[in-house]
Amino acid sequence: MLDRLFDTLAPKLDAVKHFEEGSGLLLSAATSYGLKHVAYLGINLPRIGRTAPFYSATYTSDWCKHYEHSDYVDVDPVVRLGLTGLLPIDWSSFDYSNPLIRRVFGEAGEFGLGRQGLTIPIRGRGPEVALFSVNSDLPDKEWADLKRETMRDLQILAHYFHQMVIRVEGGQIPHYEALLSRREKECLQWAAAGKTIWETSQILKISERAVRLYLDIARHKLDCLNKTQAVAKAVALGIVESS
Amino acid sequence: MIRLIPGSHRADFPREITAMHEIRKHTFHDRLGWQVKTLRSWEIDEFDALNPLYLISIGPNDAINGSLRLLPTTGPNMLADVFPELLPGDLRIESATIWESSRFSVRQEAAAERSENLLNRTTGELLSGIVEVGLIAGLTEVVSVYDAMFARILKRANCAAELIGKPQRIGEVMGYAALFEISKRMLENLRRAAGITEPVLEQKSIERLAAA
Repeated sequence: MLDRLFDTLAPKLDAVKHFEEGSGLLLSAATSYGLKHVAYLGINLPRIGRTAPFYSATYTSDWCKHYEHSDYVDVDPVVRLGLTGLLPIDWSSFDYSNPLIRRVFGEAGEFGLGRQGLTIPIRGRGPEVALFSVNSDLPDKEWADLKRETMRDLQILAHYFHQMVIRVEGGQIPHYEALLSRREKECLQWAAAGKTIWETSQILKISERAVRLYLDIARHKLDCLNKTQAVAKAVALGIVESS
Repeated sequence: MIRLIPGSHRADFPREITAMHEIRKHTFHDRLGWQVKTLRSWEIDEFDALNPLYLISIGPNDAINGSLRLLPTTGPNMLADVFPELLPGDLRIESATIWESSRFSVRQEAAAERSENLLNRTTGELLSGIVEVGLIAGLTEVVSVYDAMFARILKRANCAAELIGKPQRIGEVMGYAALFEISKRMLENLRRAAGITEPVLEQKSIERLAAA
């Protein structure tokens, strides 16, 4: 489902120069896919030159202020679990018999957050950790379906968002060509020439899974959401030739 | 049954954590002869400090039968930082949807248990646990380093992982880096091979972790 979203967004996102522009694009698009809000919290981010957490969300500024003034970050189970954990966290499984937790989420609802929520923890090579959350007002059944069908895409979107924050806020565009390995470039080159995964595997005499792996890693290194975007970006950067 | 213990919660599970480190020392130091760091009866390394997700196999009578740990490949991990020579040329696995499994170990008594199935119960539980966790987290693959014997076991169970790179000697055995597909099909094959009929993840673990 997010495939279509990724295809629409990809070309626009590549042109992004400021974080607000990129986050605005992503967040407004996400809402058209059954998601009500999207939020990101990053800590110890590299290259940004500050130690304060980086925060961005579509929540109303009233909620953000209220959350900050009430020191909810100290009790928010999303933050407590997410910053040390690995598994995606569904907000419905918190212990709502705890009055503090009930209060945070009760008030969140009054300030317009959806009643369903999901948080994906992100880890980087260094000390950086981040949380990417989406929430929604979908009924339980639809929410369960959405999670099942889109968890993979949400992982990719979460990590993409994280990389975008570091890239745009850090003001350093990576030297993409140097990041890519020979095999990754070869797979991109054949994809750009319109070859399928199978054809590429035959040409390079490696398995189809290996081709998929190289393309996925290239996608990740190029800060892209999907293969189509990665190939287009590699061509635009002159890393591979278009045909 | 598989109990999930995030590294940050280790203090709440002293019995499981102690048994895990002891089984690991016995497996990797004593039996496989890997150059691993030991601390008295424990094998423990710097990756245990990174809050991995531990999968612990709990048998009847609460016996702790084996364990493994998962780490995302976007962060520090063993294949990238300890065994890069197992990967071909300049490959460095780093993906939001690939995690790494390491320190897969089974208590000797549990491994020796006779069974009519292709996979013994503990091995089957740990492998099914990886796939169940992977499906929850939206992963496409799990990457791991293992030895030739384990590769044969997987192949026999029709759960062959795809080898990447060339095998290299690690301690007494050959080490292989392999990609393990995360899919319902893989889960079914594993369950069949191990005679497992229901999900292995402990319900209480999932609730405690608020896993999606």
